[in-house]
Amino acid sequence: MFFKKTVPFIFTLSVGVFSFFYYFMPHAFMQDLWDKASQWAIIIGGGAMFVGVISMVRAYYKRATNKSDPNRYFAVITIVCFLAMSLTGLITGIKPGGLFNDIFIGIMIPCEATMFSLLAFYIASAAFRSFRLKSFSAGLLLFSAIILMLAQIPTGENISPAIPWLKGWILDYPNVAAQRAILIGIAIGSVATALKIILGIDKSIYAGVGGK
Amino acid sequence: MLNKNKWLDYLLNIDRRVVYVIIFLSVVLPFFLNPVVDIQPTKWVSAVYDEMEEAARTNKPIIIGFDYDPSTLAELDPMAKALLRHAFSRNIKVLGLNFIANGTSLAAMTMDDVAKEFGKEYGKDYVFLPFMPQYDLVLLNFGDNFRKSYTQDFRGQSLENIPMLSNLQNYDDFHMVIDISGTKLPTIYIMYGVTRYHFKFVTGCTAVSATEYFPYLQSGQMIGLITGMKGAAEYEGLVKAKLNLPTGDGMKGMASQTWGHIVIIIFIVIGNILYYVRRRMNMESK
Repeated sequence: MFFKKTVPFIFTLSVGVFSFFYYFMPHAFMQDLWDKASQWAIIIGGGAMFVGVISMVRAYYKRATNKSDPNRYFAVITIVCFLAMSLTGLITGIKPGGLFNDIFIGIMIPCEATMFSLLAFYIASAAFRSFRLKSFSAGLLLFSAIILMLAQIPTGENISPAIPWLKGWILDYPNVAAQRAILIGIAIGSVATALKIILGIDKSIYAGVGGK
Repeated sequence: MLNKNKWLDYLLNIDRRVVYVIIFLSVVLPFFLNPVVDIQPTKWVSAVYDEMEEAARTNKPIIIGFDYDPSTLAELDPMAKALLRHAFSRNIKVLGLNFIANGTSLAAMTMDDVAKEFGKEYGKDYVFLPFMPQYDLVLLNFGDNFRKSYTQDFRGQSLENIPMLSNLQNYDDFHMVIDISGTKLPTIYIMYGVTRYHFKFVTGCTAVSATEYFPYLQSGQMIGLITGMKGAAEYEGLVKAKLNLPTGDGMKGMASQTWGHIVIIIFIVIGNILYYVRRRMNMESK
């Protein structure tokens, strides 16, 4: 329990307190410590990505070898693609003009762009079926959506200069008021959560605590 | 009455593939039309243009964060190219950054392509730094010296051998920072960079995520905002009007965006009319 709970707590408390004081005390000593700590953190961040890759491969390997899963072939494709890209990158390098880059530009970009483009079709279908003027609130949403869509194309300003003006008003006043409320709420919540973790009140992040 | 009901039911439950085909045609066909050429810029896009001109006057380089991946490429690449064209045409040096692993090659390609148009040389006129994890720490370190986080550029050259970087250390040496992203990264730039180091900051974002940046415009933490394809088209229009540079993908895409939006608005209106007719008929039959 000492290594699973107490040691992580001591580390969290010291790093949290140090980061807090560093931000408000730009002293040379603090700066030196921060430089070393930030280099560590960047290396640990890279390491965390590696851990994520191992976790992904394990999860997909488990799925690929599960004969009762009818979608196991997708997991096989994922692992094969992962290995192909990793080996290509390791052997040929990732510089522009190389095979790795050509595969990325020729396959990855069109596939990902196509996936995102499909949103336009779903939005159009959903707008036709579900965007109904059923209540006052739905009316406000509908009105704002149409004004913003019109203002986001040149036709809007051709119909009336009031449309871009109205878009500006909606974004500058009702939108900012709502966004500020959300931002302040998130900020207070983040500070509370950070304090709970730094002071050890919330122990759910430590290994073996709160999990299985 | 029965016939009317049948038609209403048919239209209300129309096969979604019909909707998809109409949207497909409304987006694809305008590519063959003449591009839109006249768009009024918003004050936030004009502010970005003016700030770029100020960078040319002060002869200071700028930072552009290319934080987008292929999913938002269609919307964000035109604005990245428009900004780069403006910068290179006014001999402003550009330092490229990237915190999205999937977008690294895209950013390098975009910078190289636009630099080639203006005969700019890598290392002298522009440099691209590689992907780096822990962007919050990198942005904080940049306030002191970016060499604390980076030792090499994207091409693997040591930063010490790159002439453009010889006199550059931190945000103070740059006129402004622009982040082009469909993610939350512009907020991170404000939290860890602008709040502490007070540099001029501009965001280029997807139209759908623009709403969350307006509080920062009002507070002055962000001095300009380019939103979506229309923002790119507005910027291209400004650059064409004032510097006579050719327009790019932003203007080209506006015709498709225009027809796409009009068709969606028509769908919403028709859907609501059908809904009301159906409701009225139901009430009358009761």
